[in-house]
Amino acid sequence: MFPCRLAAQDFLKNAQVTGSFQADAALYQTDAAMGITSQSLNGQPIRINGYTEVNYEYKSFYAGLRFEAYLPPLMGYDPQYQGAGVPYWYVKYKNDLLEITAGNFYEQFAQGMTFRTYQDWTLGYDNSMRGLRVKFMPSKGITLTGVYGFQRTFWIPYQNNNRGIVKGIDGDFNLNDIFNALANTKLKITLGGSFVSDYQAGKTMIYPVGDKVYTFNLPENVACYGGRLNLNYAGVNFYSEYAHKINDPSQMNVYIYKPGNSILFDLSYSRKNFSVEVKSKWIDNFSYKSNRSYTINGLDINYLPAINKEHTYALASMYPYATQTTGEVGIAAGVMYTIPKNTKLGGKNGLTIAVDFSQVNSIKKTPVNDTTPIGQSGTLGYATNFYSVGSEVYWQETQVEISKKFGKKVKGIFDYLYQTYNKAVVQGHPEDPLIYSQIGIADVTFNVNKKLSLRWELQGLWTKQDNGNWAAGLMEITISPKWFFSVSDQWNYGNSDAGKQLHYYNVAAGFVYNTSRIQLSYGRQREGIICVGGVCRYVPQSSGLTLTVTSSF
Amino acid sequence: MFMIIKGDMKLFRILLPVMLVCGWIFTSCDKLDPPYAAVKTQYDTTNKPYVLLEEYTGHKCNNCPLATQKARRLADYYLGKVIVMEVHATNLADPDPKYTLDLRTPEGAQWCTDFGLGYVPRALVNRTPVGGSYPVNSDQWAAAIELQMLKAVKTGISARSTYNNDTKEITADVTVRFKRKLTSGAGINLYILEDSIVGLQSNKDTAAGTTPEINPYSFNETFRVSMNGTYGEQLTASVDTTINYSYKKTFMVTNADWDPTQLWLVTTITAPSASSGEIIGVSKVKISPVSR
Repeated sequence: MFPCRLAAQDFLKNAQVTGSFQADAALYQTDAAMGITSQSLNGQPIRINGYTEVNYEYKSFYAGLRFEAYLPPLMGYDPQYQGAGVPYWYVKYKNDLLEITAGNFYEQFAQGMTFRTYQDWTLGYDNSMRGLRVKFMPSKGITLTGVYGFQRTFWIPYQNNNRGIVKGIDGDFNLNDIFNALANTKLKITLGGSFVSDYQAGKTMIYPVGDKVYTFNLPENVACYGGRLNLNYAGVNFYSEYAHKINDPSQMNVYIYKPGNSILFDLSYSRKNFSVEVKSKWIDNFSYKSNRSYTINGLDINYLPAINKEHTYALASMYPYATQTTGEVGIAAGVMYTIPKNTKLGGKNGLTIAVDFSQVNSIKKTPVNDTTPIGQSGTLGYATNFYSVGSEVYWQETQVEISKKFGKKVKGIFDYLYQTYNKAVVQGHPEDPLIYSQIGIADVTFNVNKKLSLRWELQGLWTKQDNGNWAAGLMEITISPKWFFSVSDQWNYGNSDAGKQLHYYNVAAGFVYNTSRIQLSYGRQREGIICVGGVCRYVPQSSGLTLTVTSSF
Repeated sequence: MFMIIKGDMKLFRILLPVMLVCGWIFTSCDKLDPPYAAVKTQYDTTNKPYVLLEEYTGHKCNNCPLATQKARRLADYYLGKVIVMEVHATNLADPDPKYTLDLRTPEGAQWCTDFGLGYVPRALVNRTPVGGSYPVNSDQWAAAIELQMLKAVKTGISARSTYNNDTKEITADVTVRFKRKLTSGAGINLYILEDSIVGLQSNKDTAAGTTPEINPYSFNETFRVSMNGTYGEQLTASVDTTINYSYKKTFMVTNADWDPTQLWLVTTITAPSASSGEIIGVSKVKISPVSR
């Protein structure tokens, strides 16, 4: 008894407990100008998303859980989240050779093209695995990872094969660590490979196409595998990853049987004051989900990295790009140079210029034969050549950004962007034409003293399509270390419908205390989509009061 | 040089997982050969129950026309044993200056919330959960219907309905005979559907019609109202297979937009009660316009 009690006390006293808390609450109101009625609020003007995570660590033992509550979920989040519970828990044991996790876990093989589970509250996205993960580190430079389980989708319990069982293995090999002969070379080489398989029960399904009803044969085990290479030498880095997926008919590809391919290249060089990067990707029929019936964000087994820049400025992110898993080809290039201090152009404090370009097009698809239209369900769907480029532009952006310090107290960021956005494809609105927009941004910060700083943003978006021109402004006051206040407005002054030339104003105040933060804001939210890493969520227009509380311990 | 293998134990430690992985990879790829699909011959519906396919849709939903086309194709394939009901709900059913029709109903909004539809097009099939979830995506409708078709016929429903042109009153007269003993009671729901409502429908699939819109689009099997409340009423607290259960209801039509010549009555029997339970019987009859 006595030794047991000692051990139990040790388990409590010498353990480390960490955690975090986040609550986003909203009180929505009707807004006649925006067309928000009590019916649109569905009788639920008060909504809250809340998350609490607690992690426990004692020597080699780890455990944790996360409680979530959506009562009901904020507008724009999938109503299937409604409810409360503990969707995430785990226990883990770790030593130098092994790491074993039981319960829920997040894992990523390389860039995620064969396997990635993650959560992102901004997107309302969580595809965590529940099952078993084993990491095996037999020697320095070698990491083998195995995963086995099923994925989370809202609160729907796993039963009756209502989603797939995902199994995967990944090997990561750092050759410089493995081979002594390479230990001291400047060339750093990392290789990796992964294999993932998803089991979904059911060898056939009945599916209507046109005026006939068919029986489709289905693969119960869909495999996806890939390899990657990373080379680094004297500031130059080259990364490439390729993945292949066998026949995977699904609702996402309208039940075609063509295998999928995906490849990513990234070449970069950086040194003091200068960096350059070129990226490219080619995606061909590469949606990979553990429920072939899903078309919404969820149950994705893999992740296809975005190569275009993500923006934080409101008008620059008005038309964000979402990865097209059915097929796309893209290239992105960026150069950044800091003109040194005390030069003619750099002035006393230097000047940084960044130029970025990205473009994403369709891939070229041709019929598999003379009698089968492209994309016909129950066939291979289409044929394409490796790295084919289609004529349809999905996205294009050119951005020039200048950052400059004006003395010790003032700094500014100035942006010009030209975007081409295929709303018909990206947002699934076939009636919308290509949107061509020019965006200008000025962001100036004035540090009055060590405690007080002021920041202004002025933005303009000019387009003849969609909702026309926008102007936006923001003023932010930060009184370090505890208070911040902001006032902002986005004005759709160029809308062709005079009744929609609305101001989307917002006032906010926040208080920070150690690791806790409280923010209260009131105003309007415009309709749109927000994207993180090429994955997007629709945000409906809303008006009202929002409260955000975050804390960690 | 690096060396991991020292002795038999280490060799075993490496080889065992390699062999296991190779075996697993070999069994984890179902590569299929064409033809991938075969046309199904007509379904034998003898002694099969009727099934309600309750499709949730909206005129601003550009995926919906193709889904509706699939629903109708399935209704044809199952020789009328599948009864389709189109419920217009979610924000994609909201009217606006362009899409002026308002086919939303309070019942539809309530069911949408209660059954967690989330988005459209999705359907409920006999209001029975499939794999733990009530909403069924369009590619799984046939599979969900097949599950229902495996069940025994539990009810025989005889329904008659008229619309009085003078009083604008719909009368429903339903008789239900249970073919199976149920452990508890049963509920009854009377839904009015309307065909041939003409309006504008967003569309992105050329297989379903013109893009980006179908104009005019004929909205058929459109749910208009429940005659006896959102979740109906109790038909009986206990089931006796030897007797006929009669149920009558009237409903006054106040919406002048309805075309009395295009109305249908759908009757569903739910067990164990009207508010909670699966649909165990369904019928559809034309509402006949009559004059006093």
